[in-house]
Amino acid sequence: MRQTDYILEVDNVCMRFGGLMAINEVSLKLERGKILGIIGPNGAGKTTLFNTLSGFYQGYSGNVEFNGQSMNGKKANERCKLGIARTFQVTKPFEKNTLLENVIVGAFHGAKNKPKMSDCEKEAEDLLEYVGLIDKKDEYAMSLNVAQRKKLEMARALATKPSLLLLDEVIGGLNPTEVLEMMDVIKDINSMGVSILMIEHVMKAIIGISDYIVVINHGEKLAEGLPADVMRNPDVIEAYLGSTARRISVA
Amino acid sequence: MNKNNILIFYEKSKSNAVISLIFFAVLLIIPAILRISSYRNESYVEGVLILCMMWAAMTLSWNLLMGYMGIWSLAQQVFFGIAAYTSAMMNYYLHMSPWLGFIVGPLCATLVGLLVAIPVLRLKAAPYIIIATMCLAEIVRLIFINLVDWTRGELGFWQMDAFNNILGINFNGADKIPYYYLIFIIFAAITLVCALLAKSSTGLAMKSIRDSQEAAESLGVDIVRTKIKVFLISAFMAGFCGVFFAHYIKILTPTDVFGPSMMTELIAMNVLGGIATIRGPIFGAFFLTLTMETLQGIDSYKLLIYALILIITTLVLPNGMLNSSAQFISWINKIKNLRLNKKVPLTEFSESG
Repeated sequence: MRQTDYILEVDNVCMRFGGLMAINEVSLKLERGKILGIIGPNGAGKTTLFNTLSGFYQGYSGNVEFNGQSMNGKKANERCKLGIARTFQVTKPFEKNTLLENVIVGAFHGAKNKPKMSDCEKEAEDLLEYVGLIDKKDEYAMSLNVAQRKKLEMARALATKPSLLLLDEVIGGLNPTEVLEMMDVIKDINSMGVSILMIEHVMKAIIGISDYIVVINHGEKLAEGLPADVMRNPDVIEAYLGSTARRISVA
Repeated sequence: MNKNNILIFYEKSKSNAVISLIFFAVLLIIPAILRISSYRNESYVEGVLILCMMWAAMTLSWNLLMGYMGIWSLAQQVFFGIAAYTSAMMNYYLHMSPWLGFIVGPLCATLVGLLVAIPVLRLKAAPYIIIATMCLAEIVRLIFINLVDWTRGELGFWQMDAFNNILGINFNGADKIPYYYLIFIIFAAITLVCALLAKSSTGLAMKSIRDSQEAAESLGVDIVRTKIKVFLISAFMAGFCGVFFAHYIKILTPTDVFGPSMMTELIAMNVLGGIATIRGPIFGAFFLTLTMETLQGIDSYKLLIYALILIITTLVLPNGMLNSSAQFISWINKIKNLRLNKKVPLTEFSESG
């Protein structure tokens, strides 16, 4: 029997696009009910990793295990039904649908068994209220601004009743007030028992809420550990700020 | 009333159901009205309305694919033509009843729909789908022209049997009423199915696929199944129209039914009325068919006006005539602003800025 209960175990995953190794032997583990932050410079392969985890990229090597069950060969919609939900870095709302319809799609199609449409509608309204968009529920999603789009994506992902939520830069692009709001929402979701894997560039936010951090650079895992330790790691500083910064920090 | 209220009223008004009921009721009693009134030319009017309903049904079937699911398939006439040809060939070679065509024709169209759907599934962006389906239509047309032994080539089929008499109703063509009610039933059924489908969970999935395939997939929508399902339903509907066409018009040539002109009509009607609605295609089909019939008198200018209507609608109301509530609202606001601006001349701002 395992000592700790891992909800997600990623083992030696490699993803290759032609000659480019986008992810090279990345392994990570996420304990149930915790928040794992993934950071790394632009182009490091963070979103590629998310796409492999959520099933958009097939044909990776290695093993992705969710709830002790191998996810290899399962498509994105199947993984969603099993409990992996995700948001997109570049938000993809269903622009010509109302907000309510946006969330109902998740509530209905993300459920394992076919639920009743009226239940889904009720659920969708609750979720929109939770993220604070209830007064816009009959508007088209294309009328939303960036912060609202990100909230809508959260609501949509939550509607599928996930046990693991993959958040791809939900904080980036928000203003300071919105960042604080979003951090509270994420903590709140986590306290409801949803494990969270998140990519973020806003250091203050990710250090503030992550239980554990993995740093990815050039498709490889550079470092991992508690947030405070990772921040002091000279390799991480070099990857972000260049070798001069390392010399300064060591000196 | 603020902007949102108007939008909600426009989109979700319950009067929609009432309006459509009235519309169908009027269509139902038009032949009776024509006979009671002293209008002599009733079979001409009925003929035009039959065409209207057939086009509306066809456009609705295509609207499921293009409007609701965003798949720019330009091969809808293939389903139509395959069903028409199946029924005609069964009638010509095997002397089967045209009523049987209503079963076999749409099924053949559905089969072809499946064959089209599978390769199209792998294509994600609109241009590739357009190219693939256009080529398919062209290939089918060439096959039907060149397989002379079976399809009689460009000679085509003509003088197929009319529908057999059923329940004492005579389909010999002297009186258009039987055909009128036959297409009325087909049209009403297709409208009902489309409306139900659009409101169902499949409709939700279709619309989400149109707006973002990735997001739909990430929310658990089974893209492959939804696409195939809608393709099959759409092909089946088009097939029904095709069989009706074969035994009503009674002339089938490959260029007529597989050529690109029919697809162009469908696009025009759909875009004119407004895509991704039920009333849009119906309105577009009736509007264009009736306009063209009214302009019969000035034959040489007919197409000019047709083109003008299309160009003006796409420029001014790109979402279609029945789909432009937002556009109308913005115009109203602009007019209001114009009035306000008269009191405060614009030049003051521009000079100071």
